[in-house]
Amino acid sequence: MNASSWISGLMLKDLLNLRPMTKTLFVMFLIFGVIFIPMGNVMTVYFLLMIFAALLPMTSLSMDDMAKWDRYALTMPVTRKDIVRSKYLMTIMFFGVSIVISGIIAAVSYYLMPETATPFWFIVLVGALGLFYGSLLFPLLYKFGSEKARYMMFVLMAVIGILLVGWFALFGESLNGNLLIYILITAVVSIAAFIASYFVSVRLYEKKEF
Amino acid sequence: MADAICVHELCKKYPDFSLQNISFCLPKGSIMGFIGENGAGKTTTIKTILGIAKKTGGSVKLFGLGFEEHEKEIKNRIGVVFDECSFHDTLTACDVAKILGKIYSAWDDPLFVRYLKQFDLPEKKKIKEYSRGMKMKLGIAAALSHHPDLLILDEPTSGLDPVVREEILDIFLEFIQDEEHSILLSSHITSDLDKIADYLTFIHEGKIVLSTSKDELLEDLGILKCSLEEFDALDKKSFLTYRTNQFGCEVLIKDKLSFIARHPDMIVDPVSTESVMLMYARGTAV
Repeated sequence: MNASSWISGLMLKDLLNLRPMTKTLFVMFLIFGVIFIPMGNVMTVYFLLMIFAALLPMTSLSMDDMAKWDRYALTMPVTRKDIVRSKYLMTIMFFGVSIVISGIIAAVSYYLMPETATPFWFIVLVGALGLFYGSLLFPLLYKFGSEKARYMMFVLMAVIGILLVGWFALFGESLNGNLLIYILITAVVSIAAFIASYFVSVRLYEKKEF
Repeated sequence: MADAICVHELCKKYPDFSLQNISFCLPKGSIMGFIGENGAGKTTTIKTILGIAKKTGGSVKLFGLGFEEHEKEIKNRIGVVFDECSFHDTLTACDVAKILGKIYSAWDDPLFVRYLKQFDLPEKKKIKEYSRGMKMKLGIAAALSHHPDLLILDEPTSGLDPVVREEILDIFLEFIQDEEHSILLSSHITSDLDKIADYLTFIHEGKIVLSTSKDELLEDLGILKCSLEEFDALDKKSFLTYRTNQFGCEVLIKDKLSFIARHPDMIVDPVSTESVMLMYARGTAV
């Protein structure tokens, strides 16, 4: 049996556990979609989708904590690294799904209301911000446990929000001409942060005791 | 005979508790009862053996293999049950089978379904709605369904009624029919261990005080009942621990037969697993 099977077992466990939450989020998405998309406020829906993508893996971590799953998982033929890797792969998967849904929304809204449509690139921007958020959050969760990290989640979200607003205030004017470059830089930084975050989380998890 | 578990000088330090030089071996084909009061270090020992908590010293070998080089191989051959259910409340027994089927190379779905039937566990019901006994039985079914060679069980029978407990003990006895199989079973329910254990290892305050076969223990140890004056006058070389009460003194002694030969007039009662545990936990070492 190969390594992908162990990882798919761990991911299946998370997906099964997240079923009820995914349903709730889907209903929320529909409600927000119905409200915001006709208003031409597609960006809000993108943000919402990316927040969901970041939120789901974090929720699975706290569910594991509650069930005392990790100590059991460590008796199974998986390594500590496999467990962390499954969480990161799942995060990539959720972001992938969110980006695809956002893309569909963008295409439809471009077709129906071309005057209010936002460029496709904005999806990359929002996705990158979400991924960056997740990259910071994972190590915090592994270091402090889901109980304490829950508050940090909101603090972190506020900090990123404030930084964004500040950034817009300072450099907002130069945005128009160089938008694509800024978006690409953000995306590259986020992906680098995500990869670095994986290695940090593996190290933190290797040291963890249950 | 090869050992399923061999622990040598295992140490684990916490700020307020430590395991000190834990050593014992569980021979293949047998059941070892791991006995101690709450907080004696049973769970910590098991977690340290499994690498869930990191040891600060000593060595652990399972099936003669070290964890560092053979982690996945060892883990494929063991089944573990903790004192609390480790599966998420939102899952069903069916979900558990799907997940573990992907993780264990030798997962046996029909066998798992058979255990569910035998234990009266509904497949489609959420684990949230299971009783404590049902959760425990689900854990045991899951631990048995990938054909492990070794079961490591941390208080699998605590908090269960006598009927369920006996049912579970029967399953362990059935499992051990195969001579390649072994069980390490921690418990403070000494009557369970009296029924099934071949070996007994006593732990107290993070130290192993005794590790021996049950037959040897029952043959070798005795409880001497005497007055305080007699206690002071006697040669203490075969004394292990003692307790005083209003009538005098109870002493846990080893080498019972030779003691009786030397002191034919004294009363020496046979021991039970429970009395040995109590004498070590509450008595004073001589």
